[in-house]
Amino acid sequence: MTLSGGSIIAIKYKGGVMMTADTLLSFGRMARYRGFSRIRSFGDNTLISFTGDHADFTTLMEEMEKEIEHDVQQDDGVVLNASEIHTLLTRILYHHRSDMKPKWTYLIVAGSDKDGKSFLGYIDLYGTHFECDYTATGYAEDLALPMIRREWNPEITEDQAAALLQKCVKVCVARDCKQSSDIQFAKVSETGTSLSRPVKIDCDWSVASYKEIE
Amino acid sequence: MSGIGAGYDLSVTTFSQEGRIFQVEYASKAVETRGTMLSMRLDDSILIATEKPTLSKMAISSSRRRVYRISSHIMMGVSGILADGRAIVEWAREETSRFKDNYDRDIPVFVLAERVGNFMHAYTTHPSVRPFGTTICLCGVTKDVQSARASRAAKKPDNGRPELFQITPSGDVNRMHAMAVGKGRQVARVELEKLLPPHNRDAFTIEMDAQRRQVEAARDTEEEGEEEAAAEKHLDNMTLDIAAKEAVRILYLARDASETEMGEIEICGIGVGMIPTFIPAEKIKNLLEEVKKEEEEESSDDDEETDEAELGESSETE
Amino acid sequence: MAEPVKLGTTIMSVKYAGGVILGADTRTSAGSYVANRVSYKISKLSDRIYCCRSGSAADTRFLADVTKTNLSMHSSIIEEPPLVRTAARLMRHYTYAYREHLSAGLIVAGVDEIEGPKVFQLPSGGSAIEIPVAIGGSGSTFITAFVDANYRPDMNKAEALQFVIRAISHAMDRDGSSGGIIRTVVIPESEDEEVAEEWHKTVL
Repeated sequence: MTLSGGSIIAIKYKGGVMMTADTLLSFGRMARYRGFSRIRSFGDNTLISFTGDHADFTTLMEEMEKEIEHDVQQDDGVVLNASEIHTLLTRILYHHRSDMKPKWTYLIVAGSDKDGKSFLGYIDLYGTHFECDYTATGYAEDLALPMIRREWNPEITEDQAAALLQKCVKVCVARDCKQSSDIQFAKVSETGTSLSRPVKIDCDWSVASYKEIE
Repeated sequence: MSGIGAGYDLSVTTFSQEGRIFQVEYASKAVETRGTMLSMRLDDSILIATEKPTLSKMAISSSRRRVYRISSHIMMGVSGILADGRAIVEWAREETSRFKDNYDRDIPVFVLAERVGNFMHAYTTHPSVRPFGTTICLCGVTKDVQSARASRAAKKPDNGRPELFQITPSGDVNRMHAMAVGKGRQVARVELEKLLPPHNRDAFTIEMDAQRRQVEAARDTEEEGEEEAAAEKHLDNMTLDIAAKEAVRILYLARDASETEMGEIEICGIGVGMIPTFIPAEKIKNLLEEVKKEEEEESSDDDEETDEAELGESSETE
Repeated sequence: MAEPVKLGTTIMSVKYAGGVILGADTRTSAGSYVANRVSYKISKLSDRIYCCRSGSAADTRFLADVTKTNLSMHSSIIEEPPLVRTAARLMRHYTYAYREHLSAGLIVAGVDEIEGPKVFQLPSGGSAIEIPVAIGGSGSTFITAFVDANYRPDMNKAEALQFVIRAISHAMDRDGSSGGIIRTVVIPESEDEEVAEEWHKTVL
């Protein structure tokens, strides 16, 4: 048993990408470490978040830090964008699975591509990867994705996106054993990346007044 | 065979009877005959300035850069043979990023300097290789116990302290306050010595400076009153901008007078909280114009003064 | 006696205002037999960096020794005491590279002049997390809530020491694999204060 991170939900909106994750690292079902940010920002314009093994993620991020430093060293005005970081990670993850030593993580990469358009990409431990308008990993794949499919459209504004994510997270807090209620929201747009402090998300408990018929 | 090497200069693996290794000395010659490079360590930053002789009218001006980023906290200036230097740059980059990965902290500049020294020294001990024809100017910002204590005392956040090293083809590593190598090094060193902070100068230089200041002060009071006669400019109280202009002035003074035009000047700065950054070519061009004008005025002002460059030549030691 | 020697253990480390404290019980068991009732589960990595060990005694002793050696070499190269984060990074690289073969839960804690007091927890699997208070070993499960409820980062040295002793006493009381006495190492941030290695009887 190792340390692992739970669900992530990410959606594109008009002008950027928004992402949410809780701030918990679990050891099996035990809530082991709280207040841990599972969303990392890279450079000015990329967010990476993970579900799965924390040690593998740490190691991948150490590798990515070297890549970012490489850009600084070269000083040629070329800096990896989110879509390139995504591609690089797909190759790394696929390499490790081919080595029969998969890095047990599901990654979400958000930012922009070479044309400056919003980018959102998914990678899993086998190196399976795709670009998408919205995605979720972990239990949120089952809990949140159906809601997003119903409500999302390409013209969704930042506020609407935030409200949609909020709604999804509430369901996850209510129905996922491993979801903590301290949630971080992050967004990436033309103006750069921003990560919120963890906020408490409570769900609706009014159903508690329901009484069983005797 | 009756030249200075007398048969002992064909390999780095043989000492001459006087205990010299001629190939290494020739490598230093490769540095001495090429473009001037200088570096100054200021209070919280360092700059490297270099004059690149024009290769051809067809060459793009920004090409053949001589200062390279090693990481966000270290840069390296390469004098002499550029291609030799680039091999060292690449090696140093790998060493730096490996250190960071292994120990989760930035490599202290002196550690990298010693390793680069070892690397270059290895090329002076094998028969199958030749030494590097370059003197390396390694500068960067070190965050360590010393900088932590200093910033604690000053009640400021610890952002490190600047360090400057010179590494010669022999693998010698020296901690410097300022340095100059290449064609114009002698004039440049005399000028740089004048900028050393008082505690860093030898008695002779201090004496000479005092005399010079007296003369200047007397002249200034005669001419325009006693404004700012006491404010002495030295490396520890200069800003990077002022130092950049000073660097341009020194390169101008140290230029090859036999050439009709000066080569392109390249200046790169690094500092506490500042990654290695080039000063824009346009700005350097303006600085050079300013300097030229000031120096021309200066020389028409005091025709009768002795030639300071000549005076410096005698104090030059190698 | 075919069972391997395991450190069924309670270990912990806390940051207080002015330094860090490491604590551990002293029971080493092989199966149900207490192989050693006064063992050392805290190892020195450098003058002001120590680590608490849980899991396989053999694995963790090796990790501590190898980290100590590497750290002292690194320290001579940089010509100053190492950072706590450096010790944690060196250990993490080992525990990650050999995660399939090692059984080791470690806490690296100490002080350095640049970053001050630091505590890193390295659970099995090759993770490393910086936290203000770390608990580990089989006994830690019994005191998670106690630590959550009672830890404050602004405790002074005496309060923090008392907190560590109480927490480990509770764990030893409930965990059959933990027992004996409580060993502590107090590492103050200030250079003028000595590192104190002590042992205490359980307070329950």
